[in-house]
Amino acid sequence: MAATVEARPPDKYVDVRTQELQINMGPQHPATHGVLRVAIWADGEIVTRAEPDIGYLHRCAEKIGESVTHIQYVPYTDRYDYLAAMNNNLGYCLAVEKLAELEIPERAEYVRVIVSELNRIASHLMAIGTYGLDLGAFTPFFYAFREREEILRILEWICGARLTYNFIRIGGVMRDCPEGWLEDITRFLDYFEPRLEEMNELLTHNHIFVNRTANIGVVSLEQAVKYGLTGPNLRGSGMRWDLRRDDPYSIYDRFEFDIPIGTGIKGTVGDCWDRYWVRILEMGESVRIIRQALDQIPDGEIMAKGVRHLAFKCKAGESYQAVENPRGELGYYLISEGGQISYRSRIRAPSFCHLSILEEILPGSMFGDAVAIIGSIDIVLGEVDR
Amino acid sequence: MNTQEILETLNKDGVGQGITLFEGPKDPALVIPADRLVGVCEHLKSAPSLQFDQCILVTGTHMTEIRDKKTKEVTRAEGIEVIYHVRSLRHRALVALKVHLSLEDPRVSSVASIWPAADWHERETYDMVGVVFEGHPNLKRILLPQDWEGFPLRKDYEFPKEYRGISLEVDPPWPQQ
Repeated sequence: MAATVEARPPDKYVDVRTQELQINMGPQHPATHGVLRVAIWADGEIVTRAEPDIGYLHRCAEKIGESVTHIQYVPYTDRYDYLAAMNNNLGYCLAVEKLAELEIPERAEYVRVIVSELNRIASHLMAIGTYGLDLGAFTPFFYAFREREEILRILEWICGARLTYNFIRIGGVMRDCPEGWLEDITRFLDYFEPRLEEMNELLTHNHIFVNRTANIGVVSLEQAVKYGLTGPNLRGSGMRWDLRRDDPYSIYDRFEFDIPIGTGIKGTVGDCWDRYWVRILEMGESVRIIRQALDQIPDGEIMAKGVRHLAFKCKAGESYQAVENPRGELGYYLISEGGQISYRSRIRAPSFCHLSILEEILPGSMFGDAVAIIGSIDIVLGEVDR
Repeated sequence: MNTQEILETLNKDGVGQGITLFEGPKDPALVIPADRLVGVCEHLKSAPSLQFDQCILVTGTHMTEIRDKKTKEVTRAEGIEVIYHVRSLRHRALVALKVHLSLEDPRVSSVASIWPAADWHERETYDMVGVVFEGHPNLKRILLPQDWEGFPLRKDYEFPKEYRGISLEVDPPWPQQ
């Protein structure tokens, strides 16, 4: 069912213009993926203006960063993007290690890559599953969660937590792989790869789904760059940009993988379907990276020598470290004056930037498509409000 | 392209007046006079050899005074520092721009017209540190309630006792910086 949807002519809606009406969406709304309020002004069925209102989940992340030590702050980073806690841990630890000039043992680097990529798959499964749910496709959600459950089991096995891991620590990782853990990942990957095809049959080429996402919420490349979009949303607009390749951190320069981009298969480049499709393809690329990492992983230490966790001190300086989160570029900008506590810890959350584009792309779309557009940019409100 | 090369390009193009290179222990940055920020940013975005088209992050920091331990001379004056991280996707470069502002009246021109991504970041910087961005289209608080008083990420911020009749006292009390 490779149906291609033609762009609808805008003049088709002229008849329904009536009187502008303000509609309140959220903060308690199942399709806003958290506590997000969007004030929408609609003229008939057409959105004329949209204003996201955030801050309902603000937990003073940056203020806390100025009052607890670097080591104590790692568990807090779990709570920002709680669907990809491993990647958040990794970003913060890399930022601190850059300041402290720590050398990370090889094995720890590989374990970090494996858990981060597993977490990326879990996060994309969540994004895809709930996106189908937003658009009324209930079944794919269960299939996505079945696979995600396996990943959570694997991650629980190594660190004991299912969502907020606190596994990647400053200087390495919390513990070495348990016996049989690496083999279990291979088994999972063998099981998971064919399941992607199942997801395509269920949702990707589903006629209703394509009709609700193709040509909807088109973000041109120019808009995407202007509004600071990163990650799958930027790639969905046709930009081949991935920090893992373009500004490699950790050991990502050792792996071979492609960077999928949106090409407008079902409609226009940069529409909701393209952003969704990039996530599906990215899961396959993550599988490739994990397989290579499993082949290459050496034996050895998992924690850098000389890291005194009770009295860990950073050297003075300031540094910006960005990592490719499942949602986009997650950056930590740390200012240290020496000592155990950051002078300033600024977080660049990808969802925060992505949300600001709603003001640009919602006007002109149908009111019913607002949910499809908000779902397609895949936001996590814990990260938006911090 | 590193920060040094970017400064050389700016000098060559004739917009480098007053821009100095900040060389910290880690990441370098360009320190730009506050009144020339918009001009420099426009050039950074439009010049073909630079093309810094993506604004990544805007950070506001309250810098407290530092004195040399022996001579008692002021090595860092008190003030607000605004740091812009901008990226060139074409040249794969990231640069940090710094602007020093006074603590009493922190005002700087908004760059939201150049990079719309800076819009929300500037609102957050206003919300948390109290920097007024002149010419910003919608400068109001973004994360905190509109009637919140004070700017929490300033180092001299005092935690409020109550908000709209809700007691915010905790036991033990918040650590004061």
